[in-house]
Amino acid sequence: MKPRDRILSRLRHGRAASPAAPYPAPQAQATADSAPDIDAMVTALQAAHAEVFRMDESAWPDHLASLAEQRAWQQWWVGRDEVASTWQAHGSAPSVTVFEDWERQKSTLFESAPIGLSLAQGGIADTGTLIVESGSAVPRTLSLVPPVHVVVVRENSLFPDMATAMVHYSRHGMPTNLIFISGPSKTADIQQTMAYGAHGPRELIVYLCR
Amino acid sequence: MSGFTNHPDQDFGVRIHDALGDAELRESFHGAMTFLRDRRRAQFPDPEALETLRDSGAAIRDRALAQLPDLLEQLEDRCRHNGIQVHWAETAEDANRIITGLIRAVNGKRIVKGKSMATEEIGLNTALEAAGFTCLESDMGEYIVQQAHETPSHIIMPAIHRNKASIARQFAEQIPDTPYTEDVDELIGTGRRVLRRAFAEADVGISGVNFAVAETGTLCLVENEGNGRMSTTVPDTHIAVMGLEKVIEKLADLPDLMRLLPKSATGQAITTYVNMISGPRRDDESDGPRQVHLVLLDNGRSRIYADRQLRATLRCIRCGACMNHCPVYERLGGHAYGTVYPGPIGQVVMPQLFGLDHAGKLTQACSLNGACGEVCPVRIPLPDLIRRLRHEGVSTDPASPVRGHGRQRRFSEALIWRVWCFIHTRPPLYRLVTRVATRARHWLPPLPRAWTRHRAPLQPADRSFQEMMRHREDRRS
Amino acid sequence: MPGYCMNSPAIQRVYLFGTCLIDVFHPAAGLASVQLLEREGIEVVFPEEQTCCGQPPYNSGYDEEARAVARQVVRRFSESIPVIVPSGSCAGMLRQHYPSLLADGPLADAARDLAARTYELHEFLHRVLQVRWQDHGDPVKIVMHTSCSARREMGVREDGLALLRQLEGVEVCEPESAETCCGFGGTFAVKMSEISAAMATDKCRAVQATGADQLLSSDCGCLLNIDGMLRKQGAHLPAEHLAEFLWKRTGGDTP
Ligand code: SF4
Repeated sequence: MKPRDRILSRLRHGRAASPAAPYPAPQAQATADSAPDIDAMVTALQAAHAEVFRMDESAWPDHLASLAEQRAWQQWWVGRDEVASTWQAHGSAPSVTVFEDWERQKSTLFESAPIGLSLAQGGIADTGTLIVESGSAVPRTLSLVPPVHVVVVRENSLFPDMATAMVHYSRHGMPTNLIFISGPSKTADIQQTMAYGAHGPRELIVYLCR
Repeated sequence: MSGFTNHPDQDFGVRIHDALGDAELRESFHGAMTFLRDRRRAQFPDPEALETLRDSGAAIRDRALAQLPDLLEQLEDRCRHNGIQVHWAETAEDANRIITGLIRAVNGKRIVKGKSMATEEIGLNTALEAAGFTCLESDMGEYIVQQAHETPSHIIMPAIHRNKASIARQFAEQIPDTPYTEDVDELIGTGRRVLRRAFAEADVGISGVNFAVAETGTLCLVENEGNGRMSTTVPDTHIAVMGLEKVIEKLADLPDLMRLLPKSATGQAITTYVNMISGPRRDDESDGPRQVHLVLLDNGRSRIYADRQLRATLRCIRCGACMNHCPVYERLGGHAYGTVYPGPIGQVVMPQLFGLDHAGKLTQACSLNGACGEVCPVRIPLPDLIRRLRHEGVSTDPASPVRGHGRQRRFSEALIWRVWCFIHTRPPLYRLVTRVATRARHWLPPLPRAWTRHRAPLQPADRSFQEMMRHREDRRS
Repeated sequence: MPGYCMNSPAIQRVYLFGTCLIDVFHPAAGLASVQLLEREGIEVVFPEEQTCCGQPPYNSGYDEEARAVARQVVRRFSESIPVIVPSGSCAGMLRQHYPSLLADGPLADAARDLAARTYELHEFLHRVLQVRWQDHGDPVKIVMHTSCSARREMGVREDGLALLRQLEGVEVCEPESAETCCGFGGTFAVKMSEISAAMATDKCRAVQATGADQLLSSDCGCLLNIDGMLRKQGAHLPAEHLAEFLWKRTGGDTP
């Protein structure tokens, strides 16, 4: 017998020998039918040390341009989503690198990509979470490797809570990599002192757009 | 002093003594535990809601365990379908052999690892070293601990026994061009710098798994730092190692577990990252691993599974709340246990994995105060299980399901309880004994020594309660 | 958990389970328990044929020995009236552990029945009898230590405190980290004496830091542990069982 079959047969024997006490039936799907609480989303993200800006979708590029000027942000890394094309076309003529060839660009990404800019496919309002799906448009490392991550997310793409989000993915299937992001990277591993930017972005800037 | 051992009972007393004598260590743990307990409490302001949520957590895990073999088959099937290769390991050695084989097959050279208790359990780092590989721990706490040739002292916060001054000294000594600083941001910055290089160059990433969803063939990893995402995204090959009990039925089970895990563990509403992996990079995707492997680890779990009461052990979601609330763990720290899993859950898991002959004594380091059972998010009755294992440790029943059963039985102790029972099941004899004890109270030897070393001797009253009650009756009639 | 459906006028008789520690070390607490109940017009049945609840061998893993004693308790306390126990841990043994300990024998039903009518003394006084008391003593500050079993297994921490709060002259406080075990744990105090002592040391410090005049607890094990250490340290902080204190404060033996 293969290890797999031995393990499974041990489990089956064990179960037969002492069947489980009855466990409560699975609860009915607890989905909120309420609308996502945008204020809660903002509060949660801010509490997690993210910067949040709310505005109409048409307004974020100008806002980001002025923010970039204030903070002397110059070099942008983007994928091939809508946010990337909007930003590339912006009047401030930002200097943009399109991240499309992992093998060739990987070491540059790690060494000298200061800011990643991308669109989040959705979000979860009550926990202040951004949902990023892997796919052809945006590399997964764009939200991970650069020290600053700027995310645009649309209010109408938000789920009220994680349960509703899970119903969606259960119905529509999972992407190869589904990532929930609820703030900048952090650690309290040294004497319970919170430090940001452990391995991922130190700063998370969120444009919450109508 | 800080190594893991397969014989934690050996020198347990010495380690306890040393730990209690180490004022700095006790200070570290006291501070850290108070911090974590306060944070957890703040996350669960409504006790009733918490109890409902714990009910749900326990039910989700129970439901999964009741279908465990079926869910594992479903998980395997879904994973294969998604392009994740599944391997089954009966023992730690099997798992290490499988992982080493996988690394060789892709000609792996640089290996990074995200935080994973399952790989600690199987001693993967040692096995890889023996096979000529080095594997760099990338969780900040694990990195610190590995660099100092120590082992983690807590399952969630591996370097909790260290203060920043000692970490500052370590970094300054061991990492080139690193000045001494106690600034935590700078220390983390140093770690980030070193580990970034390692991530960029790594060809194999190893990780654990918090939950695996059978419905979709999805591996879920929760973390704050991003090292888990790095380890599972950047290298070409990702190997995930998971205790086979971690499977859950469906995506819909995740939300409640996620409402319990980070709050119970570190008092956070949610972790920074929830990383759900359902396959290697697709052709149209620009990054991500080209191979994803899942190693399903038994290592004694199927044995635990066979006993209905002990099966509850497998509900554990490794949040660490039980140790954070354990007054013994708080005073000893994690290393004194000598085990991968310390604290209450360790006292329950380890004797079952290593056998009561090697780890049965661990169960004695518990006053059965119940603090752990009160906070466990999946309602594992830890005190009951610890007591049960004490029983198995002295049980002479050949049908006992636990390895090494009966091996903690000492003739003298068994005799004491035999005599105790003889007296206490014979009330007249019991009355005679208490009569003698109360009358001779000034002449009784001040025993036992273990008590009187720290306390005034026990002294019986001059009349027993029963005697008083009899006099009262007599006076009345 | 019992449903507290019995209303006090209906209850005329109760059993008292004395516990072995009270029997030998704190008989006055046992007597006070009887008197507190009798004063409410309740007849207290005290079966002479009682010894211990079986907790010491049970917690050490010697189930057979514990079972033998448990069977005896179940048989002796068979009348269908409440069983009152002036100790959280012994009450917890009867209520929470007898049913599983005796589950496989002929006494399984009887054990469940006993569990359902077992009460910790102060729980019974407060929740079932709903006593109302007048304080007769001088102003005093006390520190109350609730045992882990009273707190967690029995859930009666509030009952002890609520009774104390009825007493006007009594200022009640709890030590810092009140929810932390004092380190007694029965045989744990002897088998793991160093750990136990470390825990007791912290508890003694916290208890003393309150500046209270007196230490109270409704569990004799904790009292022996904390008081034993305080006395060894030469501290002057008299310790008393809660029942005894309540009896004295509320008129007690003064005619
Ligand atoms: S036993 Fe419970 S409290 Fe302890 S780590 Fe596991 S889930 Fe958390």
